Amino acid sequence: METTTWTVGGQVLQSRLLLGTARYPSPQVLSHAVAASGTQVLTVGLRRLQPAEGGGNAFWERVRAMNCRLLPNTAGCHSADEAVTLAEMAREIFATDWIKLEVVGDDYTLQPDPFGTVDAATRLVKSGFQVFAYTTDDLVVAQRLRDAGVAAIMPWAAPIGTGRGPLNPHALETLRARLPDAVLVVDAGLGRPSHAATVMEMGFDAVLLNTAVAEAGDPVRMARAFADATRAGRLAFEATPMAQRQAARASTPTVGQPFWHSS
Amino acid sequence: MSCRLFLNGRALDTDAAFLADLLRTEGFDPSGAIACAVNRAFVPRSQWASRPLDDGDQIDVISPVTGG
Repeated sequence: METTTWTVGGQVLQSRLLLGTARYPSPQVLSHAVAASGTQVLTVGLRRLQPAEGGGNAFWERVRAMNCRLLPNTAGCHSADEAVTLAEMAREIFATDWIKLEVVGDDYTLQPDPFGTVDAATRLVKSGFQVFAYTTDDLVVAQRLRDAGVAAIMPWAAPIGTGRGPLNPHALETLRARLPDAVLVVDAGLGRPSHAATVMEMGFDAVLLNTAVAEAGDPVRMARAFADATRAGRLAFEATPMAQRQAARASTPTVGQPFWHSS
Repeated sequence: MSCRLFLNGRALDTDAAFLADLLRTEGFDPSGAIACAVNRAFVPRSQWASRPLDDGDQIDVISPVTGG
């Protein structure tokens, strides 16, 4: 049984797992992990090119052969101006209006700068971009990003690369409840498939991860595990989980219980 | 006329008068997956041949890499 499809940036997608392309042991492992994940969207970066180093064409050819939508990022940008310029450069290289907007606010935690992110998102949306905005789990920032017209709001579960899973589940649940019509993708901080299942059960539209797969002992098996967990979490959300209770209640019928008699 | 500029953060003396000239003389494949900025402003590919270079210009040439 498959989950429902979802739509983001004008694209209908079946897979609810977006995957990064960094930190894999080898390009071959990356290719196999992408295949095992079933993802339809890959994130990519942009860096200065030194011609003497052979350039980025080998990676570019490999990633194009994966037949996924590409989501270039603005990783490492520290201001709205930098992010907007890098987005414009990405649009020309990748021939896509999709951009994963990242504006770093703190170098130690890599916490996004909410002010720069909203500023850049506003400008990029006006320039015709489909903005996937990486942000914290702050509700008001998410509301400002929604008002700016971004394609997806992407709160962190925990700081990038920590693998700690949802540190503030209440904040994530609140985002989902208060922004029922927004596309919400949990990005960053997921370490295990159970983390992905947890946030998908909350009703998030998708998850985006990289390090949890790339730095696993077996990235290909972990990619499959995350795909299954993401799908399971979404199916559970669509199935509506049971209500929790304080007290125990037997599952097996009590009528006809053997050896029972009233005293 | 030679000028001194900064290409991907490194100082460089060049006779290139336009951005397209610089890319060619420095070994970049102009048909490759690259994009350019001068002084932190995006320069579309269609303007590489007409974008003049001046002393002190900062040129960034970027290409795809792995990313999360």
